[in-house]
Amino acid sequence: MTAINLGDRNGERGTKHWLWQRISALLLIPLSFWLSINFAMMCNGSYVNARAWLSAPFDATLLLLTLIALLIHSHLGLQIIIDDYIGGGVAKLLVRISGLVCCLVFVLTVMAIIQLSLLG
Amino acid sequence: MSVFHRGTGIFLFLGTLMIVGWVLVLAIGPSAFDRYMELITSRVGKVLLFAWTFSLFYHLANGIRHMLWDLGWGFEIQKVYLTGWIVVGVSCLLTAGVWLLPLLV
Repeated sequence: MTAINLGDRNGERGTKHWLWQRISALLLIPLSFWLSINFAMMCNGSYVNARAWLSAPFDATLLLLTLIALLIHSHLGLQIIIDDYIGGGVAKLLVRISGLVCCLVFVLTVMAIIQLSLLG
Repeated sequence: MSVFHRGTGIFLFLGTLMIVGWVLVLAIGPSAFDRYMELITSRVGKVLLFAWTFSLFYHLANGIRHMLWDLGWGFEIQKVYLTGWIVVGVSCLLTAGVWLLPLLV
């Protein structure tokens, strides 16, 4: 099921891809439960509650860790999908773009959390 | 089932962007936050959120099924069907659970 063209000759990068996909998946099992339950509780819409939640260092840290695992896992998964359904030279470019999007998303979130923590 | 695994994966990635958006509007300020919350709790928003929750638990349960296959377990055709149904059942239960939770607490 996992078939990607990573361009290396001994397949080492493919193995690493497979491994990191599983590692991030295992981490995401408990983290997804944590995130979905907390997010469901936040959906009553109160701004004050939401800020209080994200100002707590434990929750903010856990959110960032969850996001890292999510972005790694998503990037690896998208790599497979792009390569399977698009393929070719375009695929390589799209995979790099998706990687950059993930980095951008992470940086924006860190900046938001820093702002929320410093402005209290 | 495996095309669903990929489909839910893509949908979940979009959901991640939705959650990140939530964090960003929280940092921007209360009025932006309120408008964002109105969007995601609208009729369409709630349907998408529900679909996102189901996608999450389906992808999680089917992912575990995949990892069991990695360990070499569960390839017999009866087990494939059984675990497939367990995945769907567990996804429905967990989705219902998470959605009922705010009402109970």
